[in-house]
Amino acid sequence: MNFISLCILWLCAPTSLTTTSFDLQWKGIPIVLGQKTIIGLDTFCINTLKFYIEIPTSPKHQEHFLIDFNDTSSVQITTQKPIKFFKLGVDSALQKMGICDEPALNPQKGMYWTWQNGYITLKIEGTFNGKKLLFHLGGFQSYNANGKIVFMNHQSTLPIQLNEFIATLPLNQDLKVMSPHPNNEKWMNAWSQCFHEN
Amino acid sequence: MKIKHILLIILIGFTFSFQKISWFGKPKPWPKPLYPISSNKSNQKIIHLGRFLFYDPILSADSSISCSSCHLNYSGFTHVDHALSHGIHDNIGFRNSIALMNLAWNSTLMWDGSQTNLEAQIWAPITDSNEMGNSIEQALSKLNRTERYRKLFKETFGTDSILMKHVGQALAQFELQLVSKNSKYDRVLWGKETFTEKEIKGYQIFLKNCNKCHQEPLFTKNEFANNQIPLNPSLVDEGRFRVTQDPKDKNLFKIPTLRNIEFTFPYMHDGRFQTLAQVIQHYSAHSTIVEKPFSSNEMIELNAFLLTLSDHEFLFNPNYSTPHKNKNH
Repeated sequence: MNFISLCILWLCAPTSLTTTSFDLQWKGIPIVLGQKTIIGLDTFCINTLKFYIEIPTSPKHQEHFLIDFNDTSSVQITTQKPIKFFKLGVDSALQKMGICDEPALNPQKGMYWTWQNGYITLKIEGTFNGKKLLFHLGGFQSYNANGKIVFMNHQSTLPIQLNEFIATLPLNQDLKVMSPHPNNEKWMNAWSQCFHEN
Repeated sequence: MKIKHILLIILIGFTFSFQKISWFGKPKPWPKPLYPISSNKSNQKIIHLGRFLFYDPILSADSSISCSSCHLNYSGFTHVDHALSHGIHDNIGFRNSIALMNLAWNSTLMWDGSQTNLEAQIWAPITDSNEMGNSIEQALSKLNRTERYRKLFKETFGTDSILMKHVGQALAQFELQLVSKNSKYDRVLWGKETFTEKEIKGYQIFLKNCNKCHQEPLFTKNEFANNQIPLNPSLVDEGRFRVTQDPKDKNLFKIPTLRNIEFTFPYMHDGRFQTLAQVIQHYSAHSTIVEKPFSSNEMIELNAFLLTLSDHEFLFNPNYSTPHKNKNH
């Protein structure tokens, strides 16, 4: 099913204000940012976790939401219709045009690269098993880090299994990623597959 | 004898006028601008405001560096005489500031093409720790605390609060005005002047060797190229690769315009060449770039042609210079 078909499907859905929450988990166990956590053999502290999602409002327009687990008000979003699916990141064509006017895309929210124009799709910062993690996933000129689709199944709460994503990172040493990266596609796939019940 | 002289003069005149037509033919029209100017309501108030901001160090963290610190109007809007541009606290950056002109025809900006939109690009130097060392929040806060700017932005955009997008629009609109198209080269193309013999020969050398990258009439072609200069070990700047992380893009840099090249020294992304002669010598030594090494005469002729790209009207245009009475701005 292509994106246009999905948009039409979305537009055909009945209108009613709907709230959807995101729940950060580690192997099914809810986790809190900024707290040292030990689960199984893993010791970690995630200080920042922010990401963009894009929901179509018409075949040519989208609404963006910044989910920031340090800002509880952003973790629950309200939409005109139930969410059947969303895209991760910010549309590349939109990024090429520079800074966007939408409030969620205000660069002052800390998800904009000023050294190059473009939005960060996913930002995770913290420590994991003694290694520092500074991970900013983004890019639209090359190694595109946008557009992966996550489908929803009438849930009002969507869990995110962060452990599955962290497992794909090379954390045998401190990890700093602050530019578009050759692994973008692999990481985007992994990120898009974390949105499910354990 | 007199008649012979007159005939000779007519013949010489005819030869030169014929030469002018046969060398240059129809002047090359400029392509359509690539920048979506229509999305940015251009008017004199915005341009005026942008010009004020461009020359005001208020945008830097300690109010010491303005855009014009690295982009001086009389040097083709680049940082003359410094290989690597320096910014706040005398920090040295890692590139030679690029000359600003004819920006509406640029599909990407910066040496590595990291910016695709002028209104967004202006925040890169403002937030770079080696340039203006500021944050977006702090820059906006400083502007919002300054009565003169509150008034100017209110008059221009009708808002009480100074927003990021308005700063971008104002600076971009001023920079889009920086159009250079009145060099001797242009005037020759339009039949208003003629090249000297040396310049004509230089133009021929240029067409054979340089025009494939520095295409007329903009003298760039919005692409990236490896100009065969060795990697500077102290900078390790791999150009376009920084943005794309694609190995094919290693050591590719934006092909800069050659317009006003006489005034935009030093040259190359790291400012390693101080003179045009050094640049020509460098290319002459690379058979992957030029057909065959240039002779001494050819180097002089090419140099002579490149000097015809100087646009004094652009360089010394009072509408592009500082609007501030205090020249320290």
